[in-house]
Amino acid sequence: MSLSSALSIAQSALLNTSRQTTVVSRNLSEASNTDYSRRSAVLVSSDNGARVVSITRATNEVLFRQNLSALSSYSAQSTLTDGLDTLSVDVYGAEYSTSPATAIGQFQEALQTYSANPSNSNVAESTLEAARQVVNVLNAGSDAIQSFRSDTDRSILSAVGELNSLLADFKKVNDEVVAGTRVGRDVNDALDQRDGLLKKISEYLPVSAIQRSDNDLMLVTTSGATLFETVPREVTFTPSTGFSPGSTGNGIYVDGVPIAAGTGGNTSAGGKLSAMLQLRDTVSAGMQAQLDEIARGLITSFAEKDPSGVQPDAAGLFTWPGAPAVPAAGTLVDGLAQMISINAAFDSTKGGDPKLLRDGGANGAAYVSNTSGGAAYSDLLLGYAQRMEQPMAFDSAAGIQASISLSNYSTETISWFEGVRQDSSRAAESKSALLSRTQEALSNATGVNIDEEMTLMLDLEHTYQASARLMRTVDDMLASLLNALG
Amino acid sequence: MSLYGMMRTGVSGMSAQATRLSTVADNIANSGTTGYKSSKAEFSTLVLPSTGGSYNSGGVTSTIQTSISSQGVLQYTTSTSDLAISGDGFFVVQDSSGAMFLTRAGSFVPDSEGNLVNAAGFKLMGYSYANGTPTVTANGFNGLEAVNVASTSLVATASTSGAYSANLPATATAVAAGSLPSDNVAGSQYTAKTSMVVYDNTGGERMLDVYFTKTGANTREGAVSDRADATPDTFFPYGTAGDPPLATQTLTFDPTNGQLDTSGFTDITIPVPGGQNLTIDLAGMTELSTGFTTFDAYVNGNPPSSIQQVEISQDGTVYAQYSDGSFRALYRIPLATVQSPDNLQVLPGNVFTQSSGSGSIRLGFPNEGKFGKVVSGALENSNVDVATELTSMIEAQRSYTANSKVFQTGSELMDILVNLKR
Repeated sequence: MSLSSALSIAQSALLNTSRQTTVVSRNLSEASNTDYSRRSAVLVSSDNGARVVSITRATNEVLFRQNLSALSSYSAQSTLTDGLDTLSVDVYGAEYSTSPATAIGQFQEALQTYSANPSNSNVAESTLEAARQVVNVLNAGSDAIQSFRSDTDRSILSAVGELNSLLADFKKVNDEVVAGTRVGRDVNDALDQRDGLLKKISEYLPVSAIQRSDNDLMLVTTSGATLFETVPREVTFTPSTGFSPGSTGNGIYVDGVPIAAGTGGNTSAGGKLSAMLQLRDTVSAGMQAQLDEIARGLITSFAEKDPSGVQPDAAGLFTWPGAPAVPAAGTLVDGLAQMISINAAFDSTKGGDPKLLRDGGANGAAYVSNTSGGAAYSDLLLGYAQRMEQPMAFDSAAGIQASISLSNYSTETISWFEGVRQDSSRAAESKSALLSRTQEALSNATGVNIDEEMTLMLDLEHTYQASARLMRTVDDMLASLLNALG
Repeated sequence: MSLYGMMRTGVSGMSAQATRLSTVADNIANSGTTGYKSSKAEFSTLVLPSTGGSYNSGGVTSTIQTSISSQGVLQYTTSTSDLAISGDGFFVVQDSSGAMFLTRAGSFVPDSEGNLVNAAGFKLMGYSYANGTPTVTANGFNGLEAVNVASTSLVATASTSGAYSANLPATATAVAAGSLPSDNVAGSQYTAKTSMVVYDNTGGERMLDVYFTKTGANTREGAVSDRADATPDTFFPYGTAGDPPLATQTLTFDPTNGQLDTSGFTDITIPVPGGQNLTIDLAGMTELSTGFTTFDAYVNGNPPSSIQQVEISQDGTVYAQYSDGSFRALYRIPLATVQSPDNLQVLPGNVFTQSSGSGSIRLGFPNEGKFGKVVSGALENSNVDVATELTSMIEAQRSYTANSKVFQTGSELMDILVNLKR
């Protein structure tokens, strides 16, 4: 041990302290970056004073995994909630103003007024106007659902494109990490980037990452399809040119394996792709089926009956392309809500007579109920009103109980939708809470704590001062030796 | 017993101290020279025969000793081609005329031809791995060549082995014969699918689709097909419908614990198109009542990759590291030593050569026998301690002054003697 080696130890202490200070300053500058993990410089003693061997990055595998899965569920749930909100406004209007239930309610009132004043032709005209409104609501609602499906289909296409480009970026960063790890470079920045990309990818699909040698990651979806292994696997999706009721859109494939759509208001989906499939095919199709059933209920309730019971029932005020036949009882007809229309025989704007509603006979003389032609005849109108309140058979495929009156069915559709929506928004809240909890836990474990860094900085400052003092002391000792030379 | 003798003794003392001061000057000047070994002057007496009452002053002779065997402090640097020896031994280097020398100055950098050359212009010598693992020639420099790290060759390795482990869902429905992936018909059904990137002989990437299909209780069919043959969008059929896949294997699981029945097949051998036979170990597969979950997937082989950097290990092996992370040994650096290192002849440029007193040169590999280890990314500082040199300088100065006083006294006495006769 000589003065020279004391000097060189002090020198390496200065070097170490300055490198550690660099790490601290980097930590401070990235304190608010959520993708950044805290770094620390590791010292190892050597023959000639300590030496900074590596800069390590704080990690917590378990918390990171939890964060990824929370991110996937939250992303799926919020996509579903947003989609349901859009659907609600598009199909039912603000405050359900354009919902079939509202329109049917108004139509029922008009019908009652008409039955009280069967001779008043103005009331007949306004009843028909209310019926027209019901048809409009059903047609518009059905169109809105189908255009929502097309929009969702396009969103899926762009989401798949984004996911593919994220995977391409992931390959670049993963290659950098692997090559860097193999040659012993500092890959911490690339690791931060890769974790950030992984978080973004899990917003689209629930992934689990499998660590391989040299820090290489393999990504598989939770359903087992390979998403990334050395090279990204293609996520494929062919958009449909248009949607019609009852049609099913194309699936999304990861490496040839289809992604399952989510189910339920508190969706089983992980990632927004699965939630979008659910919106496009399950939720929208359910709503469409309900509108179709309401349309079928209307056609059936207002079918004209032969008073003598010889002729079969024929479509009356509400008609469809299959008229004069009435749709089969209790069986869903896809797209009926789009096809339903007002029978031209009743429509004064098309040369028809609204009074046929009171008298019957739109389908020929055999169907005339008011045989005497009295202006105060209201039996048929009362019969229609009664039929709307009587339980009838509905297809259970539409998701609502099978035997219920038409007016109740129309309000039930809203309860059904509100039920799904409430489940979804409640689940979105709890999943968002879980996400922020896991994020907080992860950030506590791997994030930068400014207090800690400041304390460390003070320590480093003292070490630096002490090393500098040591150098000055050695310098003084050598100076006194030189002074002795005269 | 003469004044002249005494004066000459003083002169010899002065010249000895001058020699010592010269070594101090050299040491201080080279205190920052990598691999420099400090010299010091050692004195010995020269005695003249004396008779009873009279004393004949002799003199002092000086010998220079160089502390070549004393280790200097290692200073760490950021260059991997900076080398230091921790322990005994010397690097063998060659000057431009082809003569071999020994040195401990290891600040090597590649020159324009890729040879590792140190600050004094000497080339580092080593044994090449070109013709297999080298052996050392213990008593000469035969077989040594300049270490050259310029090679820019590319290497690729075909995949030959791998491992895959996953859980296959036990509750899945079995697929009927006739629409299995092995039947390779349009609309073939499967239970689980994964894909793997493997490398052919030229390092080209090949994507293999691996299907696991439940064929009955506790039996699974593994089938591997080449993605290049797949029908767009539907995958099946691969190539012509009905052609068998690259490889198929039946796996049997033990119903008592869901583990792979090891008495059956535990691996699958796939003839990679354009490549080698690839054997994938499936011993870690399980069949439990949960979803399809991949635990691990690994295949060896690498795409064409170039030299990223050169690393030198403690045993003196010079490795080229390729971009895929694989190492390839290029050279092995030997260390040389002699019987008495301190008696080596010192030559300009921090090099040493054997002298009559040092014994003959012997070579060996680092970390073997009494040879030290090679430390990459470090340099050996000079073993000079400035404080020791300064104190030694003060001592020499005082001693020189005292010797000159002896001479002066003799001279003054002579003066008196001469003045006796007028």
